[in-house]
Amino acid sequence: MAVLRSIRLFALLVAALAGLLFAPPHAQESSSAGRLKATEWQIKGAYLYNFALFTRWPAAAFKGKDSPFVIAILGDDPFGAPLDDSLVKEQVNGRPIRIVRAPTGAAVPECHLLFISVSEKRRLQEIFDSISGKPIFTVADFEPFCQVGGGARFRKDGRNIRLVMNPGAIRAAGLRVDAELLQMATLKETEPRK
Amino acid sequence: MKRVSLKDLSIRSKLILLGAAPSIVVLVLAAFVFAFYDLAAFRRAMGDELRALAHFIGYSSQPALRFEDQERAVEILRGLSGNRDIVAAVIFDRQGAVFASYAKGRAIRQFAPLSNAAAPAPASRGVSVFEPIVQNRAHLGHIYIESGMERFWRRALILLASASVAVLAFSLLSFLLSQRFQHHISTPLRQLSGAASSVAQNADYTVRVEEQPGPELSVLTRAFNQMLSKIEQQDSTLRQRAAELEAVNKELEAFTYTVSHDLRSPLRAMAGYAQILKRSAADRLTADDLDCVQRIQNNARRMSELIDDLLAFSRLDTQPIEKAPLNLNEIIQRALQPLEPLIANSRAQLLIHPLPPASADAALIEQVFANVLGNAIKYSRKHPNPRIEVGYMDRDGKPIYFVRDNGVGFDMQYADKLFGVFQRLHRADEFEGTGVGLAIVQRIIVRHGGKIWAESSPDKGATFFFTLN
Repeated sequence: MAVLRSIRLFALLVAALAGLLFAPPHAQESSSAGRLKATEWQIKGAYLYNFALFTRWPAAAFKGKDSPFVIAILGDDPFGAPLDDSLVKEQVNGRPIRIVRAPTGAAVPECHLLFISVSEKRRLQEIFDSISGKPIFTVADFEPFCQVGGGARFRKDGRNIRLVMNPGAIRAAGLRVDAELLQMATLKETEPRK
Repeated sequence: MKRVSLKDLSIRSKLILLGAAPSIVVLVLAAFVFAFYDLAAFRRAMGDELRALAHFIGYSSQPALRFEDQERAVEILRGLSGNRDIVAAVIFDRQGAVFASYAKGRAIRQFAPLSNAAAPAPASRGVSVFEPIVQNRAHLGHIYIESGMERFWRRALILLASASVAVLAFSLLSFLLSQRFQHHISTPLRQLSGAASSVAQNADYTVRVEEQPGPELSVLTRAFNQMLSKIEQQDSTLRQRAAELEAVNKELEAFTYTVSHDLRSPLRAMAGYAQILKRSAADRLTADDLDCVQRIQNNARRMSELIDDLLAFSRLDTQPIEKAPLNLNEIIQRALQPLEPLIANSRAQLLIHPLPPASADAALIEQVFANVLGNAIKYSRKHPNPRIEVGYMDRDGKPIYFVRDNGVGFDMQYADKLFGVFQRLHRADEFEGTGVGLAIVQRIIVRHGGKIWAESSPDKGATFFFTLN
């Protein structure tokens, strides 16, 4: 048996080596052009939820076992009612989702995921300072965001919406983000303030 | 083609076969079972590996599916190129459309969108897995991975090769061991059979077989040796007896010849002087005296005939037999020629059936027929219608010749004396003769390897049967 096991091991080794040596340089790939005919903000709204799925919050971020996962929208709301409709049935790690909205200039409400509207672009640093050290995942769709300490930004790439992320900033907030998610995103680090 | 049967093999080959064949058969069967089991387990392991891989890929592509990043999904699938076995992989999205796909090498495969969440048909008879991608009970899509069977067949080939080598090597080992062990049984047996055939061929009874260890073989060899010493003893006794008998026989022959020869001279003298007496003193002798002289002459002649027959009889032993194909019908005609006057006298009727050709010594067989026919004519001449018949009967493909007459016959209780020398069942004054004829006939028949016998009853005729071989 030992001999056969070593034969099997050897065969595996040989197969792996051969695989490395003879791996085709260009694997066939394809992607379908057919996509959801959703509006840009519907997609972005779904992506907000996705961030919640691939990020882990510390237990201390929630009051109780059943306390909801709170998504806050600060400033002018670009999502509107469809966001509420699409997330009303969803859950994050078994927690129901609650969406809170704060008007322009208002203080950041208690939340786990914060979407900062472009209307708050001017007082961004102020917002960051107010939530510094809190386990809040910040998302925006304007620049500069990540390089000044934001968590994730939507970036339009033709018809697709891509991600820019600042893993350092997310980690600093006490959150852990899925490595696969980071693999998808363009990564930016916080640039030192001038 | 000659069929080689197991029965024709030597005991040595049989023993080697007996020792080696079961282990070789078991070995081959075990190798088959092992290979079958191993390949089945290997195939199962391939499936398990593939399923684990599908889970991993599915898990890794969750963000890509969530964020609809097809490029990332393709990148993840391209990571499969490190595994040579995987020929195709597809990620289907929630709607069943192809989200990303991968195909090994130059193989371009178009994957149709899923219908009813059924797995796509594999391109080859490979192993494939089709698993849903689920995150937090939310169905994101499906992953399909298809693996080729190259690794499986390569393994099967390696197994076959190593099993063949092992079977060959162990068969050789088993054969060698069997050959080594069988000699404990076959060598003594071969010694025995060698000794037996040497005894049979060369009649050499001095051969002895080395005594072998083991209960059966020691008994066998000891018994064989004892048998041989007994045979040797008896053989030497027999040889001694034969030599003695031969010497006695030679002496007897020489004696007979000398005696017969030496008996002639006084006989010739007696006959001669009786003749002289008859011629010179015929006028002085009375009729009774002349009768006495005549009786002396007759008896001398009779004795001379006796001696002639005796000589002929004793010569038979030294005369070699020359067998040749014979036409017995001609032989009978030749044997009848000297008997013509007797036949004419007795007015005997001869019935001679044609006889088949035979292989025998012509002169001696002529004498047999002459003597037997002569007897038949002699002993039937007192019958008013003497009848003599010659023929043969077929007994198991061999002819039994017979000569039958309707003469005086004889009493069957004296049948054993019929062929003795000087044995007569009738008085000489009734039927002339010396009593040597049938003894000569029997001697000739016996020397041909045949048998002679007779059947009769008084006044009912006699039948003489004989065979030649």
